[in-house]
Formats: sequence, C-alpha cells, structure tokens
Amino acid sequence: MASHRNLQLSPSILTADFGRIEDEVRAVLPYVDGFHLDVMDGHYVENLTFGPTMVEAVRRSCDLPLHVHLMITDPGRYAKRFVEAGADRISFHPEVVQDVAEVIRTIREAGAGAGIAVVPEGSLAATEAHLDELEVVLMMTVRPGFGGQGFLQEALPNVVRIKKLVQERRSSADIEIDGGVKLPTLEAAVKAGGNILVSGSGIFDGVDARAAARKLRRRLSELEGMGAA
Amino acid sequence: VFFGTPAWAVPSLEALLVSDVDVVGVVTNPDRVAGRGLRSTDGPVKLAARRAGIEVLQPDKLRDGGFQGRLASLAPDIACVVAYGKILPPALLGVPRLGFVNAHFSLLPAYRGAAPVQWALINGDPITGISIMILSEGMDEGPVLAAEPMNILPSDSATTLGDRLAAVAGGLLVRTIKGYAQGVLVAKPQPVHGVSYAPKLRADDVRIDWSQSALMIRNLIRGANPEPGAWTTFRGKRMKVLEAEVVQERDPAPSGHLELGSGSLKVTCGDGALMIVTAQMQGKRPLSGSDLGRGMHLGEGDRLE
Repeated sequence: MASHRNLQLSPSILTADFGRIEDEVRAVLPYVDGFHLDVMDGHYVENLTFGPTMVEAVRRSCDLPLHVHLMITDPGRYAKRFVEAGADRISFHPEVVQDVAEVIRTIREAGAGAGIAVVPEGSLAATEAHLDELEVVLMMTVRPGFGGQGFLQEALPNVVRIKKLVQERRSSADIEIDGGVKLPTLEAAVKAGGNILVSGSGIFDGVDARAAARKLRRRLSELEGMGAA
Repeated sequence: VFFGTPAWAVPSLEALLVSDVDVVGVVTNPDRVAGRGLRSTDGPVKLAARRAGIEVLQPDKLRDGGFQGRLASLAPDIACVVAYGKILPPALLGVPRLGFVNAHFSLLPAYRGAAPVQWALINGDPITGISIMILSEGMDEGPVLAAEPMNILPSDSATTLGDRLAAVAGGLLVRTIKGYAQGVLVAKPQPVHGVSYAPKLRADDVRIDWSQSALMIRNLIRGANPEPGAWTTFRGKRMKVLEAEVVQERDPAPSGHLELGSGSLKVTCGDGALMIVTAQMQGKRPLSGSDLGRGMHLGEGDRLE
C-alpha cells in the first residue's frame, strides 16, 4: 500500500513559497510520504527560517508525518512547542546540547519520536550511544544552513556505517538522507542505506513541484522494485 | 436520503431500495450536457431513482438555505453518500438525526480524496477495499464504522475494480447503517499512521514516461482507464493508451520505440515492453493496437514521446 512504502519521499519545505504553503503542500500529496521542516535560529547556523506557526500551517494541510529538524542551539527548550504545533518527529544536533539523553527524553515525553542529526563526516558517537531510543537517524548530505546545496558524496560512508549499526542492533530506526537529493543522487542515497529521502529544491523548484515529486516518486518505485531497498 | 451521481453509486442505492430501509429522497448532481445535440442526459443514479419512483433533488449549490430546508423537510434519520461529486457544507451534516455516512472506495486512512481506486492501481497495490465512515468536516477524515478488503487483480482497470467495489459497497452500506442505527456498531477514529492521499488525477499525472518500467507504465494505464486515460504523443498528436499488456523484450530498443508485429503494436519501455491492446488518437475512435499500428505507416525513427 502507498502508506507502507519501503522508500519514502519527504519534501523539505525550505524552498517552498511560504505565502501559499497550504497549496504547495497539497500539490505534492499523492507522491510523498511526509514533510521535512528545517528550523534554523541564526545561532547554530547562520540562517533563520520559521517557527511552530509554519508547522501548524503544514499540519492544517495534511495528516502525513511531519519531521521537524531543529538546527538550533537549545532544542530541548523548544521541542514541546513544535510537537504541539503538529510535529510527529523531532531531530536535533547532539553537538550543541549538554545532555543528549535529556533532550531525547524531552522530545519523547512531549509525544514525538526522537532523531539525531549527523552532519557530513560528523561523529556517530551520540547516535551509537542512543540508537535504541531513536525513531530516526537524520544523515545530512550537505552542510547545515541553506537550501539548494550540492549532494556531498563524502557523507555516504557514515550512512553505510549507520545502516550496518541499525541492522546489527535490530533497531527499527529510519535512516533519513537530507541534502542535495535530486534525481541523479537518489540512487546513491538509497544504496548507501537511506530509506527516507528528503528533497527540498529537488521538489519545490519554483517551477512545478508536483511534476518534480512525481519524477522522484517514480524513480524511488523503480529502485524499490530493483530490490535496492 | 441517498446522495450519489455516477454508475458506481447505483448498486448502493439499489441495495438500499431492496432492503427494509425507507429511502425518502435521492440527491444527485445536475444533469450534464452531452453529445453533439447538446442534449442533457440523466445520470445513472437519477435513472435508478426514477425507476423506483423516488423523489430526485438536483441542487446546483448546496450552500443556499433553500436546499438545507428542503433536506430538513424530508426529516431523514440518516444520509448516505456514495460518489456524489460535491463537497458537503458543514451546515448540512447536522440535518439528518444520525448524520451522513459515506462509502469510500479505499481502506482508510489510505487514499483520502476523489480518486482512491485510480491511485491504488497506479501504485500497483495488491489490496484495497471499502470503508464506511461518518462524514466530518475534513476530507475523508471521519471515524470508520466498517471496512471490507478486496484483492486487486492484475487484470483490473479502474473500471473493473470500481465496479467490483461498488457492488460490495451496497451490501456493506446497508448492513452498516442498520448496525449504526441500532447502536450495535461504534465508529472508530481513523489510525494516525498510514494516511495517504488520492486527489483527482490531473493530465500531467497520467502522461506516460516511456523510460519507466513496462510494469509501472501498465499500472498507470489501468489506473487511468477510462478517465482521464494515460496519454503520450505520436508525431506531435496526443494518443490515449487505454489498455496494454507487458510482453518480453528480446532486443532492447530506445524507450518509446514502436514495432508493428503480426497483429500487435509493441512499444519499448525503460525495462521490458508493452503491447498496446487499445489506444485512441486525439479526436478519433479507440482502435486495437494492430489496427492503429497499420494506420500509422511507421517509418524509421517514429516513436511515442
């Protein structure tokens, strides 16, 4: 069934038209499995995006899973507000928090699934230590901060390592690939072990988001059929 | 009161009519103007209601107070909706004592929206079904009273699958509204997980990309049959492919390559090939693949794009 696809497509709304976000979201619905929302605070990264209000707007537009990626310096403090706004999963960067276990607990107690975000060639130590409490490991394939960047191949060895770890520990965590995912990079992301593919400017390209989502969805279905998943 | 418009709604209306449920009115979309003489034609539900001698209402707008008053005057216990084709305004939902129930052609929460049968086929699903829910304000988000699964056969198109689902919907609808009215059946909220969407197909959704696998293209063709019809272009003209079969490909040619064999028209796909069973050029009648192929006078480099 469409709802149990092995390879899932999750558009990042970072490059969507925020002024008509509900239309943007509805346009791609038949081809996607959830949405990815990048929250930046101007401290952890040198860019500002949006807060819980945008999560509410996307939540009003659909009931698909929403994954909020907090690129902020104090994720524990804001997690609950994003869950209340409609987030199903919250990922954060462990290098900016004092107590990773505490932040994971905060997210889970607020009622969402927790995820750890790993920057390209970043340390996997926090993920290894807390894998059992995670619903998702968010593997970044661009440096955090801006949309529209190119896919970094050098981030893939870490994805392979995480995939192996997830299998060894019999973890049910998803491996989500975030950054520069487009038609030409889809296969490498899947072969490395990703099962949720985030695409921002690859879908909300300012031209025809539905057509772009359709092409990525069709390619993912083919990769699934070829047993790449 | 029964709300429905196309042929897929008729088995449900007929099931209600032969049951001990008292149908006090039928609401259906206004007649469509069709054909060369621009005659207006009665919809399938309207005809079925007329045969049974039941009053038919065809409001243009549901929001005007007139229709709401008219519905209230029938004093219905319950309203049943099967493929009516219009969004019901929230103010109407409270008119029947037990509310509105809807037979939706998927296993909710999968495939919310106007084209659940079509999308299940396009996605190559093995199973779908019927869900009977209580209508709420959101789109197909209401609590579910009953559901019945059905296998999707490899030979199914939206026509055949929809017809089978429609036949099952009738019996399920009657059993469900009786159980609901007696207080035996309790509606359960839809699960939070497993939501997916099946909006009306747009022309772009059903344009064939010949670089895809033959199986995926065939799923698109059967999901889009008969409406809006999966399409491609031949010498710049639109061509609808209505039916096709996956065939073995011995010598791979470029995607979209056409080959007229003995009694068959074959198209190369990204993986494998399709034999076109029925297709229709823009403005022409549907033809068998071989008849169409003979009329094409295929030359070097002719392909579907």
